[in-house]
Amino acid sequence: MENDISRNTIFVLVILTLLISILGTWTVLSQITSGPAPQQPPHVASQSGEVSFTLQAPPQPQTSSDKGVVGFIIKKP
Amino acid sequence: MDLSNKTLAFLLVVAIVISLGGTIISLNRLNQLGFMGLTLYNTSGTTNFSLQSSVSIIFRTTLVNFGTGYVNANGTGCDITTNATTGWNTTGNCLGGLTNTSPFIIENNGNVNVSLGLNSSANASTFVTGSVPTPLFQWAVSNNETNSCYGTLSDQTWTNVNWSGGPKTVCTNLSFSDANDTIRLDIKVLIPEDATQGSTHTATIMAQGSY
Repeated sequence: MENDISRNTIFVLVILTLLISILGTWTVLSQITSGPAPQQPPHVASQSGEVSFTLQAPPQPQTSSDKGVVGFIIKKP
Repeated sequence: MDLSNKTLAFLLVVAIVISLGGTIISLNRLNQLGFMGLTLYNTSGTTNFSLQSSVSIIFRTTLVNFGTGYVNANGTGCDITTNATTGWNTTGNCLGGLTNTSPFIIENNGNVNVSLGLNSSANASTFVTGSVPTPLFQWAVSNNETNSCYGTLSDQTWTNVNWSGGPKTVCTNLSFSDANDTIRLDIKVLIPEDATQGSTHTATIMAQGSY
């Protein structure tokens, strides 16, 4: 029995058990109480699409020209 | 200081009671906060879960682009649309690269039925511009998948996009079921011959789901 743990040691251990138990419970309750409320998902959602077109100026009428020669010779009678 | 065994036993019992009591109180608090997987007095081993509602609206096609071109000037304008069955370029004045294209497909991608509203950043006069003839900017709503909207579906015929308030409700109950959760939004534009040239005309359509 002389090598056995003393009663006083057991008493200290029991007190530690009590403190740890109380502190643990208090910590859990504090965290739950002060923690953020569960986040609710949004009840509204939106997205957008785009409508587009690009307008150009109508092409200008294109012209092209060249020249030809019409000729004749009048001979003396 | 000497303590009797009785005292030690009493303190141990107190420790056990406090520990168990604290644990039970904690579990009860967690249960009240929605941690439903914890059941204290049920030995059947039932696992519960709580599924939250999620609203998500997406455009499968985010751009309706009618291309680049010009309008023949004969007073009737150029009509382009995303609905080939109603015809496009019936005036024959859409020239260059102006062409019909695919409609918007709007999907309820969430896990709850929603009311679908539409809004636009512009109307015909601000988006299309011009006055010869009077410009048009219209939409038409229809089910893309059968019975996707099993509430009231409005604006099923060409309707002027001229909504100055909040989103206009076009479907009061859009399903979220994958096989029946899409709405088709067709667009029609009549471009006058005197519409602003040399620039890209853009309007943004916003779809909003809510429940």
